[in-house]
Amino acid sequence: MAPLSAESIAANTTTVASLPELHQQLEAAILSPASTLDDLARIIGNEPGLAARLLKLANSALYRHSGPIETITRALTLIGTRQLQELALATLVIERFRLLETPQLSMREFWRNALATAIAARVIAIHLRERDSERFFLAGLFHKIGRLVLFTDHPELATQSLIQAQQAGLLLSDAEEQLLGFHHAEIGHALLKQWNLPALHCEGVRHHIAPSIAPTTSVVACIVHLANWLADGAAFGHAGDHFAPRLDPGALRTLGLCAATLESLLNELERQYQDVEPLLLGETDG
Amino acid sequence: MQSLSIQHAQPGMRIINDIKDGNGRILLPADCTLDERKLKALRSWGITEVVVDGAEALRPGKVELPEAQSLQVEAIVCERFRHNDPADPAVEEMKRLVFNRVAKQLGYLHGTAQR
Repeated sequence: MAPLSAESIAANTTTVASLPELHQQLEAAILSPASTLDDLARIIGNEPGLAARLLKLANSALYRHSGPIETITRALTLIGTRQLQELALATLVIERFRLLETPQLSMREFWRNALATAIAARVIAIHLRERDSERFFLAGLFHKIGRLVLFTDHPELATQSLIQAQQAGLLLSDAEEQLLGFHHAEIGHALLKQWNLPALHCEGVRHHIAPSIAPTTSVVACIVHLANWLADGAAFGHAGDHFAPRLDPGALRTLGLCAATLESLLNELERQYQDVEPLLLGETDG
Repeated sequence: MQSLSIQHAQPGMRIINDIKDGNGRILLPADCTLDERKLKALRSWGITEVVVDGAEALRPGKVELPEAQSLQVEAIVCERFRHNDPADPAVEEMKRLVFNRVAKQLGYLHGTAQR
């Protein structure tokens, strides 16, 4: 058997090897000049429960609209087609992974951590006035997806990495690196590439652990890094880590942020998280 | 020199640096004294922090707890951030915020307003 690599783990995964078909249908419809918002709304309507969930998100603390948004077509107009496509993808991927079982990791806690990182990434992006803040939401949401794949497909290696981290007081990503020669961010990167997500998301996930040592500066990686540090540091959910990750001081410098900004970022994260967590991770009720 | 979150800035404080927007345009010049109107304007411009005279002394601290509880919370926070540089101002600030958060989660903050 060939030695394990991040790419081989992603290529052989049986969990979520490819993206939901609905994502490609939306992609094709968005790119087609002939399609209308109603066409997009119809595609979303084909997936049971999705439209209801998206409407709840559109009316949540993530957005500040003057009145309620009652139809998908209206949500597409106000929030944007790309943005809604990314939210739909987030919802569908969480749905699929929620059914998995891993002995060492609670799925609910894992996605709580991912969701908090996603919200934090979006909050930071909006603070920095980056365009298309949903891109950052998705990169934040998927930042540790490589670990999820490792835990579901290779539970024996996952257990070993946890024991190693615990015994030596290591960060779990350092233990992964010692054990495998690469860490979960590399697996996540390989998986996102396999899913054909834009390079921006892939790079953001790949370099989120230490953005300063990335070959080229990636603002997305810096944002996801800081978002993850906030979410882990404030213990939103649990994704296997016993400690907050190391803060990369270069990431804050790149983003032009300083210590005094953290309080307002954390407050905004808390506010949105309390509202959105039950919508995305609550029991499925349509 | 330390900056202060706009939430904690108050009328009467004197700003030390020019406050500029993203394009480098000066919104408020150095040395001017904040009042309600200027604070409101700064918030509406999306400014989140200001450098004011004596900010260090004005920065909010940790919540006050009895010694045993305080030590317990401090231990949790220090353990959680053991892979972080304690001398980094961002780490220091985050530890303060997390200290208050953990104290609240453990139910040590009596009489604090619930969300």
